[in-house]
Amino acid sequence: MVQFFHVYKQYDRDTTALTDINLQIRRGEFVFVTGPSGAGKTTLLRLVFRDELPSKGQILVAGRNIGVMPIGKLYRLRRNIGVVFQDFKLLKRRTVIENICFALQIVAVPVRAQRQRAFAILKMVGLQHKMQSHPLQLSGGEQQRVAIARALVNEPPLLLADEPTGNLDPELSQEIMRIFGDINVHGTTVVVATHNREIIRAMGKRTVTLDRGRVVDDTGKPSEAA
Amino acid sequence: MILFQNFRYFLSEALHSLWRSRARNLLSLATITISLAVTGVFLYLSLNARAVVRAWVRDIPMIFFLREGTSEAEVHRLREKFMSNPMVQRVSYVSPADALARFRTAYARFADLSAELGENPFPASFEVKLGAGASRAAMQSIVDEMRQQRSVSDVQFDEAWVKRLDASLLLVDAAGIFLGGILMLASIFTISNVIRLNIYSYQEEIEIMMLVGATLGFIRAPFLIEGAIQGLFGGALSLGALAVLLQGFLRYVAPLNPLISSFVKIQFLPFNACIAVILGGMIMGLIGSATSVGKVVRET
Repeated sequence: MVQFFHVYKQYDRDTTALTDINLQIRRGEFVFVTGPSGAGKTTLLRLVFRDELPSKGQILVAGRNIGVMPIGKLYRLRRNIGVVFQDFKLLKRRTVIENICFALQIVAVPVRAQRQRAFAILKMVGLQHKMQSHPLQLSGGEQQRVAIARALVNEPPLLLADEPTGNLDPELSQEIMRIFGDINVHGTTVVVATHNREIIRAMGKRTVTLDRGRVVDDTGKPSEAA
Repeated sequence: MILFQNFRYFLSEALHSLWRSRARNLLSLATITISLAVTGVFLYLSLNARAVVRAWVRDIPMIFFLREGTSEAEVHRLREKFMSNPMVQRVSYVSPADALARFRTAYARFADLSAELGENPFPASFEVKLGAGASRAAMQSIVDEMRQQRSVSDVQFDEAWVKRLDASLLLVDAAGIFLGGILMLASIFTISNVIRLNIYSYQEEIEIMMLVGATLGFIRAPFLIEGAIQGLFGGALSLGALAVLLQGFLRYVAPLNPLISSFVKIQFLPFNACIAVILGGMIMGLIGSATSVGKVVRET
């Protein structure tokens, strides 16, 4: 599903975010990317949905080299990736349900179906009672759940989540991870960047550890034959 | 259905942006209004001048003198030829006797001229008047055609005067195109910059839209509609301003001088010119917004 071939990301001469990353994430896998702050977890995710371009190397998503994709065609990639951003990236002047509906509107889902699907996903993350609120009226944890709902509503084949439990209490974190586990069971490839060791341990999934921009450990990797 | 759904979304976003940045949007609306009103003034002057010239052309007599001894059958044939031209409104045959009679009435002092000469010196002729809508080109083509007829000896027609009128019309048009063109470019430039500022104020939203998979077209459409709406309203307002201006002119200025009154042939722009002004405004708005939307959204 996602392949990194000798990927480097350098912001300037003194700041190297990623160094020689070689990574293969198979369709339907659940992968944690972990490491200390500044290890390059967020950068790695941003490269996958081409929010950034690698300085060197190639990245393939669903078999397509995303580095050569023209800007006008990026929507094709992004519509197939649900992203939970660390800073939520919600449309502030729209209500919670409008934020969710927007992700459906751009893929031409009729209004009535938009409402139904948005309500269902909000119910799943426990925010149906806040659907008419604006993001700034919500707590950090609630905004995070809206961001999760938006990322999931289109049932994307690939889900990227950057510290999705960073603002949630342990109980809610477990609930979100359970949702991620469920969609993974249904075939969605899930990549979660987190430094929450407890969650990683509880889930028992493949874990890629980054340190200073390099992959230093990759445990629970499925065997090549699998 | 989806198209309608999207259009409704684009329209509501465009209206939201227009309201949100109303102060600077008013600036571009004013610029479009002024530029189209000035262009409208020149359009009115041009159309009015054309109407004046058409009236003059209609009134300029064309006289085709016939050779001596032209047969009645030939006179009949020529009359039929004139009448078959749709531009011709009236054809009068003036026999040599009629011409002499007119001469005697007009110049009583020379009433005995023909007796002194021993013959009638006036040739037979056709006097032709053109109808409404006749142009200099139509006049010229009739003259050229009739000059080739063997029975026509000469044509009396003030070609130079008509040419001068045509040239003056071109001058009015050129001034209108020049001044209107400059003002329209200024409007497009203003709209472009205003829309660019509006886009910058939505930069965060645009970035999010792109990240969740909106197409560039989906992001740009509301801004294009915003420009088109500004242009549309600018066009309509310019017609309003023009109407007020012309009413004031026709009511208070024109009556002061009969010469000015005689030059007023149309009261306002015709319907299709009004539509052209409004559509022109809309196109200007679209061009203005398209020039920034394409660039800025791509940069976001």
